[in-house]
Amino acid sequence: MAAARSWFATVVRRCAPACFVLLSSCSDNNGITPLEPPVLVETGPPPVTLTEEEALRAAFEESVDEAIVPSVQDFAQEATATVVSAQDFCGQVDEAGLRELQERWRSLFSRWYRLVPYNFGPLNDDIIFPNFTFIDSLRLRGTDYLETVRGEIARDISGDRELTEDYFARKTFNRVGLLALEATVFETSTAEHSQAATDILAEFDARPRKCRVLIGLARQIEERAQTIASGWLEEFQDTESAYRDLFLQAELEDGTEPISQLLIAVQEYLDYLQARRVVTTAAPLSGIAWDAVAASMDEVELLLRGVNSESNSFFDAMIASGNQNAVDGVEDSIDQIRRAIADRDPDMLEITLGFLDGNFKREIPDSLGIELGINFSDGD
Amino acid sequence: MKRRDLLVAVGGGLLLGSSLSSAAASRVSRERWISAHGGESGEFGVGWLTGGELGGTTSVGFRGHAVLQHPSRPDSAVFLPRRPGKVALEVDLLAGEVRHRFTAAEDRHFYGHGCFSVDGTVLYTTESHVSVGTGLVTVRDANTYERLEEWSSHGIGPHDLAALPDGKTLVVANGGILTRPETGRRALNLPTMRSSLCYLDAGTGLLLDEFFVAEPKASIRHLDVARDGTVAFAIQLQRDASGHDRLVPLVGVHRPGAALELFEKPAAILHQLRDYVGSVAICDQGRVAGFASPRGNLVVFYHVDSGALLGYHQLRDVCGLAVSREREAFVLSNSFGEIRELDWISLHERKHQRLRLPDFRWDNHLLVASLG
Repeated sequence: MAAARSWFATVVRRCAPACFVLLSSCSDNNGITPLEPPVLVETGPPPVTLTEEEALRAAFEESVDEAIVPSVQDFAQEATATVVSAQDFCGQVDEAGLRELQERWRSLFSRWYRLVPYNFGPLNDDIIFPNFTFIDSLRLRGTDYLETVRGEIARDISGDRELTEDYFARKTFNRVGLLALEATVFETSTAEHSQAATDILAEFDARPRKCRVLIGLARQIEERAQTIASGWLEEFQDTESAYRDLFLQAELEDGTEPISQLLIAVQEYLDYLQARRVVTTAAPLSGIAWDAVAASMDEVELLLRGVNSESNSFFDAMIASGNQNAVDGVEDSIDQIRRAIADRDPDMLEITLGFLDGNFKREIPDSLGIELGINFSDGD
Repeated sequence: MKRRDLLVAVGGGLLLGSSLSSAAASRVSRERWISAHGGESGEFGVGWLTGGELGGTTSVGFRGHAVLQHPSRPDSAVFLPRRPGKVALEVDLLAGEVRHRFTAAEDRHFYGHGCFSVDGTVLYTTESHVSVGTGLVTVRDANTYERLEEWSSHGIGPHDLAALPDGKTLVVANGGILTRPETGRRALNLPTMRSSLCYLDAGTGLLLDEFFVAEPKASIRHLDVARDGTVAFAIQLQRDASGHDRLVPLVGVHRPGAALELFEKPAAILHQLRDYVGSVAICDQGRVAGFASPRGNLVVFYHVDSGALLGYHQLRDVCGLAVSREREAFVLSNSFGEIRELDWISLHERKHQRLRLPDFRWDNHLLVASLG
């Protein structure tokens, strides 16, 4: 994807911090070190100063190609790896395979939490049946569907219906996705819902249909992940264009300005994390909700700070427009969230997520000169 | 305010530049599309288009809300201020001058909406009795704007109102939320708020009937009336005060003699409305009611009689919504200066008719008025 980056992102960089090096030569002349004029040696191209508008554009382009697109690709790759892992496990049901499968699920879940802050475009492609709900049913409204997927899995394992790919494709969003896969991999389908590895392995051994369920659910996630990836990078719906290109060229169907879309999506995600207390409801069997939220914060920080110090980042654009204080405020919010995660403190996490949520509503768009709309929040 | 104070685009091209398609610019129209707007510099005004061209705009010095076509002076529009404004204007759109300026009485302010009586003789506006905190419907002479009467709205925070086709009845959306000028837009009575849809005798102000929704924190704010008297209404939920996160239906209809009917499905659409519907328009052709949610960036369309979802259209920060008989279309506007047309039967957008005037941040409501 790096090759696809525009000239702007590749050519224009922040001011090179040290274009010129001041050298002074010294020589020993009878113990006397004569003063000589300094020599200026040019060591790189002259500094390039971006206008505020250019800085914002460069930051936006890099955010797409160095944050969003890699998240899309990583999730798709992990989804495919999960299918392979499931197939391998079902080929030889043993404890090592189960551990590998469970670890793969954890990795997939974390990858999702790096992608789901960008819940627009191919993720949120349909107003009634959007892709994201089939991967993460919790994200829709914070409803916990654990008992729903447990019942569905138990019926599928004990029933006699042919478990075809089409069967899994027709399931409603609250019966599939990461939660259903988690319930398949981390517990038995019996009433006890044992999480002991020996019990889980015994069930896979005794009930071959459970492997069909496992692979069927994993494939559905892979299918959605590939749809999202191809929407971002190949063609989105019937536009004959990749969503990446539409997004960068500001040609979104609903007329939304892409940067506004991006900021609003992240803000809504932060709102979701706090309002639904995701750390207490997500990943109920694997226990990695905190790690997943930490992964989301890694992603948000990457989005704002850029991939490295050479990046053109949103923070740079905010500083370029004279808003260092706003950057400091956002960094402080992120630090506080990090502390809450480290302390495993859900109350403090909720409070600090609210701070960053507010930053995305006010300080960040204000610093970047982005208008979110006059009707957007003022109600009448 | 005189003509010289107004910025009126001559020939329609002055402020449009290349933002209009040639097809749109060549339309001959008998309609004006009028809306309050905010400008880049923070100035507020009212702007209007005819035939896809900017007909004119005037700076008025306050943020407006609803616009009404004057019944006996069809080239004039009454421009009501957003709450808690105290000054309203009648603007002559042909002459480009303010014909009348009228104000809310002492200890009163406007709520942003009004309507003329069916016979065109009086203007009704929703207002607040500030010190008491109750809602009012104020009756003014339609020509002189002299205050004639003042009635209770039979609720708090009356917002939209309309005259029913029978000529005898008014319907008022009492939002139920108490605000005061000195505390801005902060809701002061959330624990006790009670919204209602009230029917009043248009001649006396007597309460004829009133209806309530089950959700106590649902605020009925906007409405439109079909030819047969069916009222479509739109709700804004005070989510924080509700104490729950259940989906609450935000749109519905009321037919004379029946109970309120809320459109509760599909849940995904309801979720997408983000607890906020800001305007409603009924198209009698096809019996379609459109509801706009700026927070959801969405307009949804339901069949008035069956309650079936007929379609939807996504547009960022959309709130302006009206029906153009000439274009046989729903017309949508947003705060980014965009205007779109959707065929009123198919609900498909006519993409070639898209307009964008970046300097005009269309405010909440759009009026389609026939030229005089």
